[in-house]
Amino acid sequence: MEEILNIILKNTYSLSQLKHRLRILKSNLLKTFFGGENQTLNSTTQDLNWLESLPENFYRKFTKDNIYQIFADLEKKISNLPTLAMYLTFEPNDTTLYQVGSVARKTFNYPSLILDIKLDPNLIAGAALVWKGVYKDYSLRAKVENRKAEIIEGFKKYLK
Amino acid sequence: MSDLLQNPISLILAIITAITFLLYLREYNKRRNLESEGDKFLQDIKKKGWENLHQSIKKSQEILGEAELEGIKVIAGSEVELSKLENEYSKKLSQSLETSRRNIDAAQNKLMQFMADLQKKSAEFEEASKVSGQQRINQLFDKVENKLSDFLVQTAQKTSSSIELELKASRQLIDTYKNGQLKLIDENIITMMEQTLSLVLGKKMSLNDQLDLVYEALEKAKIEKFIA
Amino acid sequence: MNNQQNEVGYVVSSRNFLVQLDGLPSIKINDMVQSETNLRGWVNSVSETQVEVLMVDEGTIKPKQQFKRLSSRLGVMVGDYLMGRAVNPLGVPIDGKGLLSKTQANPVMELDAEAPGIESREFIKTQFLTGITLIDTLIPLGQGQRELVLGDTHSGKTGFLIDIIVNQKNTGTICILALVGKPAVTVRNLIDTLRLNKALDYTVIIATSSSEPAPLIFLTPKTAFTVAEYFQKKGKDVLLILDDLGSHAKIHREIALLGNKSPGRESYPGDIFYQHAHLLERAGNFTPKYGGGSITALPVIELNLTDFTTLIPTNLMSMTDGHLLFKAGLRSQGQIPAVDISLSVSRVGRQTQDHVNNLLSTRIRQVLSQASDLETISRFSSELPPQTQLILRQRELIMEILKQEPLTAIPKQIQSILLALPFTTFFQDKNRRFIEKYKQIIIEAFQKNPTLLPITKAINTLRTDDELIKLLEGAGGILSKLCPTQKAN
Repeated sequence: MEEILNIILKNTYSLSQLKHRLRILKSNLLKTFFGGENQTLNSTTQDLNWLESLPENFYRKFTKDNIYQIFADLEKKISNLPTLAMYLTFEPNDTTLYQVGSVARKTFNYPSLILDIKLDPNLIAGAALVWKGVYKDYSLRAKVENRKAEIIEGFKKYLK
Repeated sequence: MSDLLQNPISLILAIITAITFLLYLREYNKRRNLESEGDKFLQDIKKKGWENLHQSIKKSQEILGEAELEGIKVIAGSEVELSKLENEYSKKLSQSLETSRRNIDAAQNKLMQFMADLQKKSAEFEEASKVSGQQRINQLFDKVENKLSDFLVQTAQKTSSSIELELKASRQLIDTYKNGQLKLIDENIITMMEQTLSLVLGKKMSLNDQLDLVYEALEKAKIEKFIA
Repeated sequence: MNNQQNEVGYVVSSRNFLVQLDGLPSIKINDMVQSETNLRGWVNSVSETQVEVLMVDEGTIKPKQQFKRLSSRLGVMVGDYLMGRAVNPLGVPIDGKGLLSKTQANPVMELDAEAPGIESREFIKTQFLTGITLIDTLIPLGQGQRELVLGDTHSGKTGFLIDIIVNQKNTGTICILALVGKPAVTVRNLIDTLRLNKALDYTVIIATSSSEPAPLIFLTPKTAFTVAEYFQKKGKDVLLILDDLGSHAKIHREIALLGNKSPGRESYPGDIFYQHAHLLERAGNFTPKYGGGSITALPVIELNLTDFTTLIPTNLMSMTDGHLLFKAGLRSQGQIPAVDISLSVSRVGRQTQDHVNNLLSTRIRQVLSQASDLETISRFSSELPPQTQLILRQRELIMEILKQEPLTAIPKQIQSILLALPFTTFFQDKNRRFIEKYKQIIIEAFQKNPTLLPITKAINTLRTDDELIKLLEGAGGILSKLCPTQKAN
């Protein structure tokens, strides 16, 4: 159980990515176990690449009997994972996500840290973080708000 | 008679009748005596009565005569008195008339004098009151003038001070409004700047720079122990 | 909480006005939260993993929306500026008269305050005068009493309550009218009626129309009590009318069923008794140390066909100090107010009434109960003994005297006089028509006629009702002059 989760988590950094990958993994496995040849999967090349990158013994862990059980347990475990919600000004693609995620995991020394990426363009640049229900704004917007007085002073120099 | 003596009852009856006859005779005699006495008495009485009557008539006539005399005397006396009274009365009346006429004259004179005095006095009074009235009016006018001028001065002061206060208050309001508006403007400036920044940086900042900022945020969070 | 850090939660599930959030680690019940779209809600319950929030503003809630924790708790700003205004339970004005003139000094009082304990209560000694003869003499109310007003629809309850409010003019009592989920038109009409009768200056109206979100309607009685407590702590006497708690119970049931709480009797949730009891306990008569004023509460509940054996009426009857039962049948017979005297009770009123009125009301109740016993006999036999006829006639006279038109007030001494009149010899042969015709004239006579005025003034010095009746025998002559009857009946 742990191993399955760890293998999956090695390359997945965000919650949505995780759920997406789980879904295609499940449909793929179900197809191999129960489906016929007529059913095809609508998955992108990236997904196929990831599926193929999973090691062989990983797939062996799944059998017809325990597949449902495994997935139910996985879902339960995922809801208990430490999740860091991050508000970004842009929607990152896979590579960016990979970079951000790995840096985050390294910085906080949490190999199983999961990010929950949200979009908030009102942060001018940078990010705002939410951890365990507490929200803190580290973005440029916050910095501007902090230094409001100085900025206005600077502007006023250009007045008469 | 021997029948009679032989029968006791009839004897008794005869005795009884004889007794009663005797008794009756006695009674009859008595009555006759009485009657004659009575007749005598009556005649005596009649005589006396007639005598009394004569005497009383005489006396009453005497009395009547005296009474007439008396009455005539009285009447005469009263007439004399009456005439005396009349004289006295007329005398006294004329006296009193005289005195009252004199009094009336005197009173009339006094009244005329009084009226004359009154006229004089009222004339004097009028003049005096005119004069004092004028004086008072003048005084009043002076007072009114003074008071009015004071009042005007005061009101002028008050209005000016209140106007000043109002001005101050309104100036303060204007100031606070101005300050508030300036603050708003400042905030607007900030907001505009933020929006400009976000637009510009969104278009122009490279992905690497964005990522650097994100990493910086992560670092800061670690330092502040925001994330355990 | 520094200015950059704030607690947040994300929507897990939402159902109508009930939203489940996760996060918000140190949230407590009755805190306020606000969504990104500025919709506010208050925290109703907290479980291990989730926080249940009831929304007071209407709008769409999407999953994973962020909810920020606000620094305020569920409360309302109170002050003297509320008098004469109509507000909703969160303090927002709804009468269209513009913004409330609040200042910084006005406190924000929390809606869910605990009721003060026994050491803060004082014995109820003063009578609460309503100006309505039937209530003030037969079912007297005390200042600080809770009296339930129950009745069918269209039995005249609302009119009765408006009369009580209007009759509190110039007594210094502040009236608070809480309208729970009434149609907007009704709210408007009530405000206009009060304004026409110049009763709005000392009244605060807290109203929610039936179209507002259920949590907002649910909060109405709590806000009403909070405002009442503010005035009571300043030493004033407050009259609080809750119209009606039946709708409040239904709304509570709706919220509980939506939140999957187990339904109990009549599908009401298990804590329905607590919801009403902990509200009504906040009313009472308080000692000077705790402010000194009093809150007299008149909760209202509408029944179905005078059936008061269902859950909510029986609950409310057990938590109040008496009840007034209104019957639509009495109203259509012409008796206004349509209170059934034999079924209504005031458990606290007796100790507030003065001795003469007490004796008078006992006497009247005796007459009424005797008359109801004799009534069945009277229908069958045609020739009744004079004593029975007297009692039946007295009852007729009393019921006619007790009828009172809406928006009229009768002062206390006149009430005693009117109710003692049927026991005098002058009235022994009068019938209902006489009273109907001459009641107003009699009332004015006792208030203005110089020979009768001493009687009115002397009432406070009397000790028993017999003395009052004897005094009124002397007035019989004047009354017969003022109220000429034709001898041909």
